Amino acid sequence: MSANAYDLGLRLRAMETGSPVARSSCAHFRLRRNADVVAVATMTGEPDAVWGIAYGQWSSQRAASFAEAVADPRSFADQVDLFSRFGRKLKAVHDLQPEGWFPQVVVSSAPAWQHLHAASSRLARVEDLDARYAAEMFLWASERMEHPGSQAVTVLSALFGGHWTAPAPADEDELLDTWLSAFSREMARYGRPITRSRDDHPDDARTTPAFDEEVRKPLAAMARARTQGRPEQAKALAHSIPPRVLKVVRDRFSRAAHLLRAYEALAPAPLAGIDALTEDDLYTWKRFRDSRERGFRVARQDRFKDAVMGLRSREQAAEAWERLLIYGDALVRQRAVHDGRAVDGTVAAAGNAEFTVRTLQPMLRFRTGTKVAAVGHPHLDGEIVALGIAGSDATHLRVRLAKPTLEVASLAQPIMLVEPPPDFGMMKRSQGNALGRMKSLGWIHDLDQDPPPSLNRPVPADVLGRAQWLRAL
Amino acid sequence: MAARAVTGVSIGTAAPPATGVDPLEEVLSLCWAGHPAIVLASPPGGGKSYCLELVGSTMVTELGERVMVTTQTNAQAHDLAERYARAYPSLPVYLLTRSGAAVEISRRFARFPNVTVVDRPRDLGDGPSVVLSTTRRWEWVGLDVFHADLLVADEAWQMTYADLAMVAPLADRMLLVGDPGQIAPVTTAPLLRWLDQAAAPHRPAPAAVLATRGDDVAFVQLRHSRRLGPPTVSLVQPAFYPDLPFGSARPQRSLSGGGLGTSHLNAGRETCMVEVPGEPYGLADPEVAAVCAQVVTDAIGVAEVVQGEERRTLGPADVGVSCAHVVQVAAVRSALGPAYSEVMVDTAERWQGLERELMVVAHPLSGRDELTEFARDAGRLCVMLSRHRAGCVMVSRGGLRELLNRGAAEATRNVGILAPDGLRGWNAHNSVLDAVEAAGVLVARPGD
Repeated sequence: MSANAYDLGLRLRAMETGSPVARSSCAHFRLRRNADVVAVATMTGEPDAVWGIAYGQWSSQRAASFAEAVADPRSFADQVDLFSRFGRKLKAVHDLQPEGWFPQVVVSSAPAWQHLHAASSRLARVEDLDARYAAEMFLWASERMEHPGSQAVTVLSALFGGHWTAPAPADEDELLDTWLSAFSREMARYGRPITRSRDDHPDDARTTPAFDEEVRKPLAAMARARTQGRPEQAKALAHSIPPRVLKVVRDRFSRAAHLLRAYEALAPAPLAGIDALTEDDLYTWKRFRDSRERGFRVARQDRFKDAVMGLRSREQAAEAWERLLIYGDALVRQRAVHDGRAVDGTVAAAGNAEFTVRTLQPMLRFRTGTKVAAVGHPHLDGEIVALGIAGSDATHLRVRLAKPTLEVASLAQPIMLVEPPPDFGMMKRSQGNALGRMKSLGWIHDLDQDPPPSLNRPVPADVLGRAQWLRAL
Repeated sequence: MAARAVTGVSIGTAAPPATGVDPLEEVLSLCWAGHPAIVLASPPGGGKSYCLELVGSTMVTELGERVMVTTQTNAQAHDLAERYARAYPSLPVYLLTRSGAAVEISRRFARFPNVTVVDRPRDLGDGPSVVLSTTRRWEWVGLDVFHADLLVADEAWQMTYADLAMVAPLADRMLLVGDPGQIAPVTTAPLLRWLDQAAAPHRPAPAAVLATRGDDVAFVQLRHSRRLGPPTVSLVQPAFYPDLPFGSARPQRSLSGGGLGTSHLNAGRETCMVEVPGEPYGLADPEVAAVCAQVVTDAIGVAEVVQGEERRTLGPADVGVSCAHVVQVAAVRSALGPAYSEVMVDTAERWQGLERELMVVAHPLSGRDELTEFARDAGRLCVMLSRHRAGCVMVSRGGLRELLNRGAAEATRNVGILAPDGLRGWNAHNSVLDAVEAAGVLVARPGD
C-alpha cells in the first residue's frame, strides 16, 4: 500500500466515525511546557497588517500574558507601536532565560504564521529597536521553519496533523477549528471546552465579515475625523476598536492553550534522538542574540558567508532529520522500504566480522560503501562491502561490521537495514569548521579584495609541445 | 510485448568549431604564467582528464609546485590517482582518504610505487606533488597543515559555490575543470532564499565564479569531443551547449547488426528511439523496462563495433542502461535478470564521467503525466545522451511532445535570473525531440 492510499484510508475511517484516527507514528516535535503561544488577528485583505497579538506560555497561564491591539492596522506607525510593545515583552521574557535556552514558538494556525511573517518582514528595518527585536525574532523563527526537524517553531494544526487524521477534508487540516472540533470531547477532560464564538473564522488569522461590519462605522468615522483635522475625535473613536480585537486574539490564545493541554496528554512517545536536534536551534539562537548585540543588519540579500552557512545548516538538518525519522519511526521506516531507503530482509550468512542479508525488495538505494545500521541490533552496525543479484529477484548485501561482535546474527533472522542515525557531534564540528573557513575567504568570494597579480612566467616552447595531443587527432 | 523500432536521428557532420590557439596550450600557458583563476569548460569526452594529468604533472615536475586536486566522489579521486600513476610513474602522487580507510585503499594502489595513500593531512609530504582527495575531505584539512600552489577542481560544475569556498583557501590559484551540460549539484535544502542570486551558494562553482569575478577569470573551452560522433554532436550541442560550440574529433566508429533498436544504428545514425505503445504506466513501467532489457539482450554477443577494419562483438561490459529514477533501475535490473549482472544499470547521476559503446536510455519523460522540474532537467538528459561511443537507443512511451506542450508555462521564473533551469530543460527536451522529428519518422504510434 502506498503512503497516499494509507492516508486516504485513515481519513475515510475518521470521516466515517466522526473521530480523529491516530497515525501510529511517534512525536516529531518535543513540546516544551514553557513554549510560547502566539495568536494574531489581521484585517481582511491586509496580509501584512496585524490588528492584534496575544502571547503567553500555554501550560502556566489561563490567559495571555500579553495582549495588545491597534485601532487601524493599516497605519504603519500603529504597527511599529504594536510591535514595539510586543518586542519589549519578548525581550523581558527572553532576558530572564538561562544559558542553553532558545525560544519555542507555537502559532495557532498556518495562515496566522504567514501573516506574522509578512508583518515581521516589513518591520525588521524600522528604527525602533524593540519593534525590530520582535520582527527579527519571528524572522529567525521563519528561517528555523525551513530546517527539517527544528524544535524552535511549529504551527499547532501541523502538530496535530502529524499524529492524527481529522474527520474533515484534507484542505481543512491547517485550520485551528478543525482540531478544535475533532478533539472537543478529549479537551473537556483537560479544561472547559470552548465553543466557537461568532468571531471565529475558518482561517483563524483574519477577522470575519461580521467583525468587519461591526467595526466598519467607527473605522470610517475615525478616518473622516483624521482627514478633517480633528485628532481628538479620531483618538476617541480609535479607543472603541481595540477592545473588540483583543477579545478575538485572547480567545484564540485560550483555545490554542487548551488544545496544547490535550496534545500533551494524548501525544505518543517522542522520536528517539529528537533532543539532539535542538543543538542546531540553540546554535542559531545564539547567533541571533550575538547579531542583536551588534545591531541587526539591514540588507535584502544574505551576505555570501551567511548564505553558505545557511545552505550547509539546512542541508545537514534535512539529512539528519530524514535519517532520524527512518531509524526511529516504524511507520516512516516501513514507507522507506518501498522507496529503497530501508532494506527489509533476512540474515543469509553470519559471522563475527561480517553478515549477509538476503532481500526480495526490488528497490534499493544502498550501494557498496554505504554505512548501515540494523534497527534494534546496535552491535550489527557496519558498511556494505558487496551487493549482488542472487537468483530470481533476490539481492544479497554483505555487511562488514564496524566492530567484531560476539553476538552473531542468527540465520534466517529478520533484519531491517537503514542508514545509521546522524552524528550530531560531527555536524556541530562541521559547522564550526565551516565558520572558521569563512574567515579565510579569498578574492574569488570576497568582492572587496583585488585578485592577486599573475606571476607572468613565460612558458617554454618544449612544455607547450606537450599540449599537442588534441591537435594531433 | 509489442514494441517497434523506428528510425532515429540522422544528422550530418557537425559544423567545424572555430579554430585558433589550442585550448590545452592556452590552459597550460595560463597555469604556467600563474594566472589566479582559470575556468576550463569541456564537452562530453573532451579530454578533461588528459588536461588534468598534463597540467598536474607539468606544474609538479617542471616548476616544483604542489598541486591539490579536488574531486566530487571517492571513485573519481581513485580513478584519477590511477591515471596519474600509470601515465607518470615517477610523479609523486598522494591520495588523502577518510580517516581509517588508508590501509584498505592502499591495497588497490599497491602496484603503483609512486602513489602514497594517507588518511591524515599531516602525513602529506612537503615537496612537489599531486595530492588528490574529495571536496568533503579537503574541508577538514587545516589551513595551517596544508597549502598548495594550485587547486584543480575536477567535475567543477558538480561542485557548489559554497563547496569551493571551503577548499579555495587551501591554495593560491585555481583551475576549475568541468562539463557545463551535466547535472547541477544536488542540494537537499530549500533554495528559495537565494534563487535570484546569480552567485548563490548552491550554484555550480564555475558559473558563480564567472558571474561574480568574470573579468578577473580566464575562460577556456575545449572544442572537440573524442567520445561522441558527428551525428550525436549535432544532436547534443545545440540542445545542451548553445554557448559552447564543439565538434567531433572521434574516428569513424559505428555499430553493426544486433536486434531491436541497434539494427537501426549505422555510421550515419548513432541515435534512435523505440516507442512502447500504450498509455503511460508511471515511473516503474514494466513494459518500458522489458524493452530496455530486450535491446540489451539483442545486442550482446550479436552487434559489432566497427572502427576502420576492426570489428568487435559487444560484450556485457560494453553496454549500459541509464534511467532517471531508482525505481526504473530496479525494474530494468529485474527484467534483465542475474544472467546480465555485468551490464551496468544505473541512474544518470551515477553515469556521469562514464561511457559505454552502446547505451540504452529510459527516457526521463516516459510515463509521466506531468512535467516536473526533475523530469525536464537538461543536465540529466544531456548525461543520458552523451555516454555512448558508438550508439544510443532511447526507449519511451509516446506523447512526449504533448507532455512538453502541456508543461510549457510551468518553468519557475525568478527575478534576476534570465534563463531559469526549468526553461533551459524545456528548450533542451524540445530541441532533442525536434531533431528526432526532423530526421523523418519519429515514433511508432500504437496500432500503426
